[in-house]
Amino acid sequence: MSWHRQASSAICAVLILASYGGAAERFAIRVGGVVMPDGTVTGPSLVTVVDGRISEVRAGAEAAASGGKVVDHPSAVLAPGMVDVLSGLGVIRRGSHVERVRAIDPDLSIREAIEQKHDDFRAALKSGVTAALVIPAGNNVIGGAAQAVRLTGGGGVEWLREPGPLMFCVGQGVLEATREPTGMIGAVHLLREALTAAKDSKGSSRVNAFLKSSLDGLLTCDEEQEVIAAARVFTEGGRLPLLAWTPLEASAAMELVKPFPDPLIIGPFTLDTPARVLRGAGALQQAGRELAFAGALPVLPGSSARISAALAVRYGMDAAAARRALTINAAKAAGVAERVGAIQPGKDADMVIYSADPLRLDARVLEVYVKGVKVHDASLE
Amino acid sequence: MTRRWTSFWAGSVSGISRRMGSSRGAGVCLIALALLADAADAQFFGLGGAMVIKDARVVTGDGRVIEKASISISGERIGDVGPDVKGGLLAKSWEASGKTVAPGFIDPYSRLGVLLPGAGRGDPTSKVFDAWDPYARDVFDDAFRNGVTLVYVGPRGGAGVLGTGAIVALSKGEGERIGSVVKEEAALHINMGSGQPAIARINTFNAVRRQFRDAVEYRNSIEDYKSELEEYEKKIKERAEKKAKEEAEKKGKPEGDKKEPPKPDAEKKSTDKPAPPKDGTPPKPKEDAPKPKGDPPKPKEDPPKPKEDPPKPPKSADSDAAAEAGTGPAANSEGDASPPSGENPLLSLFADPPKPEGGDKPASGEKKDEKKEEEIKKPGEPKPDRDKDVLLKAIDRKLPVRIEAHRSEDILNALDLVKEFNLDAVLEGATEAHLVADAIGEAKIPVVLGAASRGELRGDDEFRRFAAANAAALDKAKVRWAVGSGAGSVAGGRFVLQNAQLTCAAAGLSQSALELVTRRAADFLGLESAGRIGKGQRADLVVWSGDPSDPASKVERVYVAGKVVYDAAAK
Repeated sequence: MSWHRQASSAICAVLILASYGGAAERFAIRVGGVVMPDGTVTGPSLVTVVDGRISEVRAGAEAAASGGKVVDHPSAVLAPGMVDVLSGLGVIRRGSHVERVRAIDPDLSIREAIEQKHDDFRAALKSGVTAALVIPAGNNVIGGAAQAVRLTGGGGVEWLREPGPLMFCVGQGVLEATREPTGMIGAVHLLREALTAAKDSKGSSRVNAFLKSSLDGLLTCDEEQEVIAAARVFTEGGRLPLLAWTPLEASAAMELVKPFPDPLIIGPFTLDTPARVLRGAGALQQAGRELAFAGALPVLPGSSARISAALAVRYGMDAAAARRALTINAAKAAGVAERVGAIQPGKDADMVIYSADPLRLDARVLEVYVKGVKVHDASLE
Repeated sequence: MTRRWTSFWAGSVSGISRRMGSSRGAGVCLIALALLADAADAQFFGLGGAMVIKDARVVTGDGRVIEKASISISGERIGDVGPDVKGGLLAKSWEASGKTVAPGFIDPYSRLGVLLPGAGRGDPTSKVFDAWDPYARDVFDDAFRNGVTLVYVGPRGGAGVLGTGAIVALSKGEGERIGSVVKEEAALHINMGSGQPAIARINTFNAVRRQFRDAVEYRNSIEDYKSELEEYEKKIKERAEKKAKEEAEKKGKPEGDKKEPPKPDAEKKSTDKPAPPKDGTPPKPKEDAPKPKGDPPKPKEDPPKPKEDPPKPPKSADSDAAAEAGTGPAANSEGDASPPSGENPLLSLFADPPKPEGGDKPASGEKKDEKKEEEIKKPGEPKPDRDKDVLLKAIDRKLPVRIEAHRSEDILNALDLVKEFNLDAVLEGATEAHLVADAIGEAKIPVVLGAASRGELRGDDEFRRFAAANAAALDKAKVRWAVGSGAGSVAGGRFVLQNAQLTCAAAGLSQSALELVTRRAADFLGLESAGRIGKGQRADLVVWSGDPSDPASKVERVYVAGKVVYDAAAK
């Protein structure tokens, strides 16, 4: 009897281990729909994962698995894991993302400040966030390098790329009474100086690398005027970074963002965001721009980017474009789109199974996979 | 009553006409009947009252979906719902095939339309609707675009007792006005001040409890006053009778009589008794007063005491009132002096001192008699207190109470308050309900949750232990709960459905968020005639381009109380 019990508990333990750990070499997930790279949702499909990567996406309810275990979720929707853009995961609670001694400080790297086993990572994972672009706070005109991380099953992170993109900021946050710049003119001036020096390859190595396109750049702004000034200075420098800016009035936004490349990073929106701001996303998308939603965890909850997407859709954004903004475009903004952000053969199997279309806010996160390993299962909670 | 009756009648008439129509050859009759039905509509509901939304997909709010049905609107109510509902000849109809009609969303915890912050200032008589801005058109349009048609709004602002909330329909009023009160004084609001530091929260709770206790005392003093007044009136009457009798006696009997009583007191009583058969106790002492002259004091004492016993209880308060009124020594005259002794048996042991006073008075002669008559003081009426009247309504369970509490200790204090005063209460917010769910369940207090979307980054504020699983914990403890947008902001008030969706999803609940903000919210507010689509229900209807739960669906038209309040095509 006791042997029996032991054996059965041992079997249980093995089963649990198998369901969580150990790189499953080959398995397939059968779902009611898949969020495709173009943002549409297909019908019933079978997605095969081999060695932590997506190897095949086959449509049709009858698609047969070619060997290996099959996870069945006939009414669920499979989507790429979300990438939390403009993230504070692992740094914010300790205040380690704030540095305001030098306004031009390109050699800083937020990577050194990330607490790799921070609780916030585990919480984010449960919400379907499998990667994040952790950024330094916008207190410096050039604030150093951001860091893209992957959230792993053990509650930690791994680096998804080399440090980058380089963070630029022209906004109220960079102004200090105790050092330059003390006003917006000074901020723009400092930025121009740094870019001009780099143009002659006399600047900091990272700013040089940005202008030579070997390092990405990301600019954050608050006000329209800052976007206009920054666009002028970067145009003079010869290269424009990605822009993270949430227009307060949709009408003028299109003109202002024209010089900046896709995707435009917008949001985060909350349930309190006014309608005129919510309309901005739809207006930019209707004008042909690709967007990516910022999540801003852990200041906002794990579903933050989904809330942004759902509200943007309510206020005029196309649903497929919003799903792209939630997945592949967020990955592009973080500079990790070759690895993650789409359910596509060759991509890492960082995926989330939702009870419904992730644009619906009543869709629950059922399971989360990172590199083909199940790291969260709501039914076991 | 009339409305229900007519719609029933109109319905049955159209039913008959349908049947006759199918049997053919009764065209005239049919038209006549239809006209009759319309005449009834027109008569009772005014022109243009009848309206039919044709062939829509109908989400009823109570869990059913009818793939194709028409809805007729009569006045402020739904006339009928069904596959071939017709409105009659004069009815306008609107083709809605491919569209989905759902009940308007109900927000049981909102501040939509209440644009002035801090509507309540710790005053129970404040009414939230006084802060309602009926011309905030963009706020209301935004609410309509998201399907909201009915809200519960409460006074917000400080901590403590804040005033009363109201249920408001976003219906069209005069001109551009939006909003009409469905239920005024829907609940008395108390905010436990969970956002305050600990000492301030203790003070808030104590102040609230004191307010309720004061209200109870206030009621007691009113009741005392009433019985005193009764007693007083009785006394006055008796005295008048006595006086009349006395005078009659005086006239009838010569002075010689007076000498008789002085004998023994016992006799006095016997002689008195027949005279005032109506228990003329109070006047007696006064009569006695002159008599005692030269008499031994002892016998005197005895008679007044028993006589005065009955009036004592009221007098005790009476004397207080008299003392307050500054009547001074007069209050001490025998009649008044003894009642306190009756109030407390111990005091009666020490009731001797007043007697000598009583003994002194007679010395001043008959003039005193007149004075004494004035001394029957009219009891002081307690000052009316409307604030306390509101609290008493709550104590009598005629007015529900809503208590906003976020921290677990504040929730437990709220439960204590509810228990002490037997309140009909609802908890608002209840961020830490998951920590004390069992206690809430045991007390059978319903909860209305607020904003579901909070970040992980919180300081030591009232939301520091916000848990996504709060709703699940309430479910487990069998607590009746609803979810509103919370009173965080005016703008948040439009995303009622989204907030409910987030609440359910975060708690891992698979129940329908739409039902939560329609039928369940209506039931929670005690509005059986709202939140669902059915015959006789409120005609608060939203026409969507697709399923309301799909974020891509757009609101095309909104009816509140049967009138179009929003039309996307007209924008």
